[in-house]
Amino acid sequence: VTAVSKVAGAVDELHAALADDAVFEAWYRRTVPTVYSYLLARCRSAELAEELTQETYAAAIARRHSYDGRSEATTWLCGIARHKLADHFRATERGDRRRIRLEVREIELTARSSERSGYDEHLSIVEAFETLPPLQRAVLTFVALDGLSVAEAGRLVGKSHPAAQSLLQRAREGFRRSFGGEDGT
Amino acid sequence: MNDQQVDRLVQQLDIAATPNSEWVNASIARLLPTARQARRRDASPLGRAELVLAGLRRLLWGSGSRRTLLSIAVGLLLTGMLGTYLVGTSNREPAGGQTGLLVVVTNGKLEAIDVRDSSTIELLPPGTVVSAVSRSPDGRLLAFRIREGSGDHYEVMATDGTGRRPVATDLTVDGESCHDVWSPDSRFLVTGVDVVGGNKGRIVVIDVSSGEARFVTPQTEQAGCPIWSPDGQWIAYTTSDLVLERVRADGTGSERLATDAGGATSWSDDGWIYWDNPDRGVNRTQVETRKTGTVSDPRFGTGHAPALAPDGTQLAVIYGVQRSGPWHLYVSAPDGSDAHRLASDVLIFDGWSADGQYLLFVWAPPPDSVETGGLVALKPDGTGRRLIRRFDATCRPTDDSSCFRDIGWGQSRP
Repeated sequence: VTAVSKVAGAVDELHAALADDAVFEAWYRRTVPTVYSYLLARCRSAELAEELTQETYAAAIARRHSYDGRSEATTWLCGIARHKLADHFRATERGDRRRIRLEVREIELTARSSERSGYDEHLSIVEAFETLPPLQRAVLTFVALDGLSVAEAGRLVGKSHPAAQSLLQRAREGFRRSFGGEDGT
Repeated sequence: MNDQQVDRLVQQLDIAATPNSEWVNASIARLLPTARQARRRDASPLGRAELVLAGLRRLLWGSGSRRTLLSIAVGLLLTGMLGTYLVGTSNREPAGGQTGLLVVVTNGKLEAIDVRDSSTIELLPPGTVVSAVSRSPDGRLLAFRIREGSGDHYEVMATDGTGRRPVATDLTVDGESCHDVWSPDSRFLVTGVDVVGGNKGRIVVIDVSSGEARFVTPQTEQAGCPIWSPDGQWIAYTTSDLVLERVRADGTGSERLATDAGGATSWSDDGWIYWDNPDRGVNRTQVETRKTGTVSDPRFGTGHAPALAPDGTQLAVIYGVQRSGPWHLYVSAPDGSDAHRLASDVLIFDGWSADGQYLLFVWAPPPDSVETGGLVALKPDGTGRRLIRRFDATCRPTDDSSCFRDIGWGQSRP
């Protein structure tokens, strides 16, 4: 199978999904766990993950001709989901500013990470992550979880490279402080 | 804790999750209309052009020199396409291609179905009660009755859901119509109506362009089930005492053609009017000579619901041994010879598409079958069978209720 035929096959698969209700349903059921997992891991809300998943697929149908078949359909879908997530973080940031309630809720954690069970540690990671302001969380997400460069993460959230670097630095500091205690160790 | 350790901790958030199955089902239901809309657009000339461009982009988009060449090629292509599009829009075929959209009332909703891919659009807001739906032969317009107060009023609109307007505004009607039929030139609609506050069983012709309506049968006569002659000059109908008559489209020149006749369903180019009678099977009457003869074959049972193909070369009839069915669909020569079975377990036969490509029927498999029935189209050679719409889960089809209340595909229906 040549690369060209692989590309054509992937594109054809998407077109086939859009050409028939039953095929679309099968395609959706096959791909949606990946997209939903991607979003849930990053936004930490099942309700929001569902909403963004829905928006992702609607956008994917609208942008169906942009799929070039060089990646898996799920990779392409997660790329769209990433933009939806960035839009969400930006909107949340704007909303927070409007309400003048931009405050970092720091969680008092007395135990050190080394002393926690696996479950407790995961809970602590979630809680520390959720203390971060939206844009800091977004940049940390895109860099640490998605492997994007700082510049790419900045573009997604509408910030310059230096501003994104600053956001990332503050995100890591905030996470360190919340997860490890006041001293951040 | 250094930056790498922070990142590794954050990476632990990336775990697989399974979405709620109920939400998945609801999400699919919400997305399907969007997918169907995309499907329809891709089938349009503009959509096809976009597909070609996307394919080109995939093949050629690469290095800088390639990009420059591609830009030139795309520019030329766009210019060509724009010209083609502008020329093409002047005689663009209606939605649904050559066959045109199939309009159906099911579960109280008026829907247009593209039989090529079963994509569906809902044409009226939810809760709008419509009946007597018919589609013009050219595939561009549909007519329907809408319930308002004490009676029904006629409206027309384009098959893409635009241009909705009332016609025959002085006419308030009631009762079941046979099937309303469009003239071959898609300008007039003929229907049998009970006039609210007036007489029952009047044949009325509606000029869809002007919206005017005129009765073509006298007040003293009860009639129904009208059809047009192929040249659009005459209308045949059956009176309440089972007399087959014809009248000019302007209401003059009424003539008796045959007695003991059922509803007329087809009128051939060579002057035969096909009709059926529960006791006599399928018959046809030659308009000029008044000669009448049976065309159904008693070996297959009692023939019913004859429908002549639009080109007049084939006759489709359903046969049943008992009146309660089951019914089987046969196709024969126009005189009834060479009949052969095309389909079984036909609940309602809905005739031909206006281009003669498909036969349409409601298929109800036996109760012990694992299959679900629904609305089926197949080609007259028996190939290309497609289940266009399954029965809704709440549907319990019977001889009287097929779950598809009204169907219009541009031809008179049996």
